[in-house]
Amino acid sequence: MPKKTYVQINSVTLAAASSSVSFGSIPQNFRDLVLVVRGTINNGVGSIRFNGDSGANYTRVGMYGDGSSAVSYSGTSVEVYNSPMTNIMNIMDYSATDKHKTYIALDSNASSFAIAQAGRWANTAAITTVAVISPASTFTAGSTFTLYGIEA
Amino acid sequence: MAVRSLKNSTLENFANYSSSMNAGYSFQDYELIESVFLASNASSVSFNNLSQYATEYKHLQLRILMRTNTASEVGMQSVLTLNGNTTSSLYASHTLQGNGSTVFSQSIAGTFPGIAFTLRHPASNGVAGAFAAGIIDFIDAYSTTKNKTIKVFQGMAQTENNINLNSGLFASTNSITSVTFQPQGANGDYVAGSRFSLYGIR
Repeated sequence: MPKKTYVQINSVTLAAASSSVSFGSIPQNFRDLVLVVRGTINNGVGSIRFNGDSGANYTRVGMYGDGSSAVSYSGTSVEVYNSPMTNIMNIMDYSATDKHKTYIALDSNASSFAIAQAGRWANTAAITTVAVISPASTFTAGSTFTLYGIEA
Repeated sequence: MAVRSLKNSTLENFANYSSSMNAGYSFQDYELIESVFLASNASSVSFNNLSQYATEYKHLQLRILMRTNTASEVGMQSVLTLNGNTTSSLYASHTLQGNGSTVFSQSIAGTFPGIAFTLRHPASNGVAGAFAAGIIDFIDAYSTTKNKTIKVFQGMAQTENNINLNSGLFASTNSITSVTFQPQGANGDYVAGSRFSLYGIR
């Protein structure tokens, strides 16, 4: 029996606006996760939370170009979504318990930015839940969120 | 089965390809070839005998999570050597990087025995538990009419922040037969917990 390596775990398309989408009970038999988001936020930015952790346990570094300048930034949250966006986030070794969790993401916002970002969740726990949130706004209906697992 | 070469290390390996060589096996479009998980430090990591996959895959991809035990992480990076060829004149790379405050670009050619700027990674003075993540694509890895181009996307968010987009050139039309990573200048080892996973893409 062929062994699939790149597997869709779950996919959500919003039928109505929502301030968050959560993937829970993530299987632990993959090595990496890939989260693909194609959507629009009414106002503000979107963030990621792992295992429901809303504490100050996230750091990020990124760079973007806006058509006239290139900027690098750093921060202490996982803000990765600028609307409208197509974002692909690779969450590496998500099930490992011997290291912090590192991700790298590319965000394409055709009207504003091209963004590359890396981040770290300072926790050695395996990731069992990934939530995409917009604290100050909502993702519009039709926004899609798909989670994949990659074997290793 | 591909032969993996590791120096000064013990490791846990998983080779998927050998188990797939059963009659009737159907290769997938994106498939794990093999993974190297370091159980102890290693001065380099290699994937060898890659020519055996030439009829099955068109491209190769490496997914990596790693750090080193070098004393300082400032400027710490890995050099990627292809086919065991250390002729520096065959290699060039261009990088676009951000460090959290500045975006900068560099190019280098003919200096290193491999493609430079491939992976920036934490060292001993980095945040404990922090590893750098990277995805490296080898497009048309088995072409014998094209020089080899790799695409790197890599980053780490810790003491030394870094986000890196890199293109690398190996000016050889030879099919890729091996890939070797080593900290620049053989400065330090990859530490336990580092992981290198090779995938074939049809």
